[in-house]
Amino acid sequence: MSTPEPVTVTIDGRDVQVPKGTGLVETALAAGIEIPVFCYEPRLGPAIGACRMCLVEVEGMPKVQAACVLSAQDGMVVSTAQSSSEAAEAQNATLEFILVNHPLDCPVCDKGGECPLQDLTFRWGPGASRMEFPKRTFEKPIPISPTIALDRERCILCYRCTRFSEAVAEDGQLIAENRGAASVIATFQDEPYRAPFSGNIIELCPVGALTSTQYRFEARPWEIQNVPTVCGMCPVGCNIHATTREGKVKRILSRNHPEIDQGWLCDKGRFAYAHVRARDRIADPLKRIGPRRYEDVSWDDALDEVERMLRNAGGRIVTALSGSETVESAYALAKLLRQGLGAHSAVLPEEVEPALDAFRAPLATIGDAEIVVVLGDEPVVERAPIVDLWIRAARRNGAQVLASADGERVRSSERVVLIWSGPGGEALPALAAGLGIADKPGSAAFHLPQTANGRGVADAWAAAGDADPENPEPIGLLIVSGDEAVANPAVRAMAEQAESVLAISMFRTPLIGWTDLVLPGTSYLERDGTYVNLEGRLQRLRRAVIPPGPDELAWLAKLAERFDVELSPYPSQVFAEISAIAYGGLDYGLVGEHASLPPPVEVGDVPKPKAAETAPGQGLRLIPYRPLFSGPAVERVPQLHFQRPGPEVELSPDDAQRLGVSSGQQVHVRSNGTSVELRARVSRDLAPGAVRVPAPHAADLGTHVEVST
Amino acid sequence: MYPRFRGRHRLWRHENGLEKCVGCSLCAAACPADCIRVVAEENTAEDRVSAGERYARIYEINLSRCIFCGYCELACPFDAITLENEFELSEYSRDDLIYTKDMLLAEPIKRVPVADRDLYDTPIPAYKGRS
Repeated sequence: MSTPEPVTVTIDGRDVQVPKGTGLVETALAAGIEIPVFCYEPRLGPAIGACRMCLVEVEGMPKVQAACVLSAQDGMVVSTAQSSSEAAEAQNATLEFILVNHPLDCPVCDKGGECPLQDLTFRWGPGASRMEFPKRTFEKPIPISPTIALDRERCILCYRCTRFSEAVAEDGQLIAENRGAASVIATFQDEPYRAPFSGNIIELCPVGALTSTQYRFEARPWEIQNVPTVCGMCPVGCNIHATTREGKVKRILSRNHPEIDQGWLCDKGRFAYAHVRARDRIADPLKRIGPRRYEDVSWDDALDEVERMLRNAGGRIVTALSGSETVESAYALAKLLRQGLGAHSAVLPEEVEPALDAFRAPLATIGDAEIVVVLGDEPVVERAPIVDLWIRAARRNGAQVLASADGERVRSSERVVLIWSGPGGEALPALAAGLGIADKPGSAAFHLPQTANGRGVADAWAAAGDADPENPEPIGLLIVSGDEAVANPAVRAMAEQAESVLAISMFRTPLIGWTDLVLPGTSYLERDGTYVNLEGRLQRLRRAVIPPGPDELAWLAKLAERFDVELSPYPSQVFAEISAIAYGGLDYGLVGEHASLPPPVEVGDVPKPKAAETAPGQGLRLIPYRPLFSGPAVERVPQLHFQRPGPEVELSPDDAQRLGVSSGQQVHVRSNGTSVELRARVSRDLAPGAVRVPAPHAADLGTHVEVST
Repeated sequence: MYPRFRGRHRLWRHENGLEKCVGCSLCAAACPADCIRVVAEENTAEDRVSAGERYARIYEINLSRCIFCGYCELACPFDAITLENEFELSEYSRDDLIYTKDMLLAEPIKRVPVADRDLYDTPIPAYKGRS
């Protein structure tokens, strides 16, 4: 791509050089002059000039012009409100006009204090209103979904939210109804706005018309602290601000990292933070005293008990890791077990092939791609939602989205992105190497793993020791670290064989009856440390709130003392240790607020994938997937329950036609003796011969199923 | 006492009994001593506390920190808080000087007889006679 020729624009008497085609708002910014805007947001596609706030005078044009819809041309002479009285008067009038129907309830409004309308009125607007008539009123607030409240009186009709819904998330559920002063934002037929990215409209709204029901009236902008951290809900690792007040997390805001998330967040990342204060959160260690009875024990007693369990097991220890641990706490646990006790067996979360580091590129590469190949069984949006937005952006930019990497176009294209969503990602490096992606700038290959820090946990476990696992039989002690591991059926099956079970978990309910000792876990919002996202980018997690008990590193360091293992309770020191082994000696302080992606590394031999094992079976292959809105955190946030998928089965169009099934019909899904009744949905992105069911509804179904009406 | 004397705060109600305070925290923002804590909540149809959409579930003033500057009164958009004339604010415990919403909404308690002009025939100052 060639850069456009530079042009010179004069703004308020200042000459500035920008590439041709740059928007006038950005051009003014380059000259150090602010043009105020409401509706203009470059991430939402072309400007629409709805709010008229950006009016400027342009030489040679008869009237004041909306700057947001103009682009820089050579020799343009622009006067903003700072030098042109006509533009200033126009902006003043625009604000007076916007405020005609805008209620002056700033003290009650959640946006008050961080409101662009308030700020711009203060700086550019009239001091008093001439409006003498009663203002237009609507019923308020209207819950457009359990997470978002709409106040139509405050809306200034900038159409940011509807443009987001239409042109970014492409769910098309939000519309502007009626005309003129009666225009209102609405969902179609007043259905709830049910979409994975709906929460972004709260942040886009320049007034208090769209507010979060969770954050509603919880804090004012001068009472909060924003902690820059990283979301720990999926492997994308979106950058976030955790807003805290009085030691509690009150909301999650996006923190734009243009290479990862472009400032968008999914609803899970935005709203699921409330699990931190769930009712069944564990604050003290629990010891089993009966089949289903537990009692609180002190930390000293608990550590004595852990020591006894570890010594009794005599090295016959298996550790199940979640992939939600920080690199540091995973390393600390691994070092204690591998170096102190010689216990090398672990159940690791789904891994990303280290060979993929040869094709490393930022996620933003997808947006500029020519061809995007989406492989694997599971829907992208359920595994790594932001990647789905990037694929949509690529499609809008003219990219082709394919489901197969064969074909001449894929091989000859210079900008190909391969995305593997689902298990079986071991095949991806060989495929990417075959297409020569490492030599094509603008190409990349991503595997979307299941857990937020699966890569980092695997790195940490490998860095702590190199002996082979011995897979003890029977298991003396099973250590279950984190809530994903607790929910893993394979781990539960191992627990039945194990002599004793130690769990590190946040929530009490799922642990009852099969664990012998429970230590309180912490959430990603309560930890300091680092996460490695699916690109291989090391990102810094910061503690936003204090956990109810000591965090993992603190008690692991105490425990390590008893086994003569040297372990620091401070994340920076633990990171220094692992960084020397796994991350090229990178300094903890340099991980940074906007982490950069390390350059691709040379990986000599790409491992040959094992031939994919397809278990033979009759009928359609069942793909159970873990939905985005599921898991221990979502279960504990009532506002998100409406987002959970219903009992549905996805069928390919071919299979649906063959079986005579149409969308919305109830069908029976059967396999070896069990039968489930589900609602059918015909899905075009599914290949024939397979059906997809959300894991919570797949129950005991086998690998192959029969579908009948 | 001089009528503009700034003593202990008072929260006010509308004539219909609803609280004037909507829990906007502007007083807390204006307070130079950082002695006001407001935690707001939403009014519901069954339980309407204030006239606005929100009300102050918790409203506390730490009078041991307050410097009685009156900025909270200036900042209040609903005239919900004023500084009154009560000045006898001694307690045996510092905690007792944290005044809650209920205490601020109530009439000041006459605790020390010296303060009560009706009981004692203290001479009325000249300015009081004029007003």
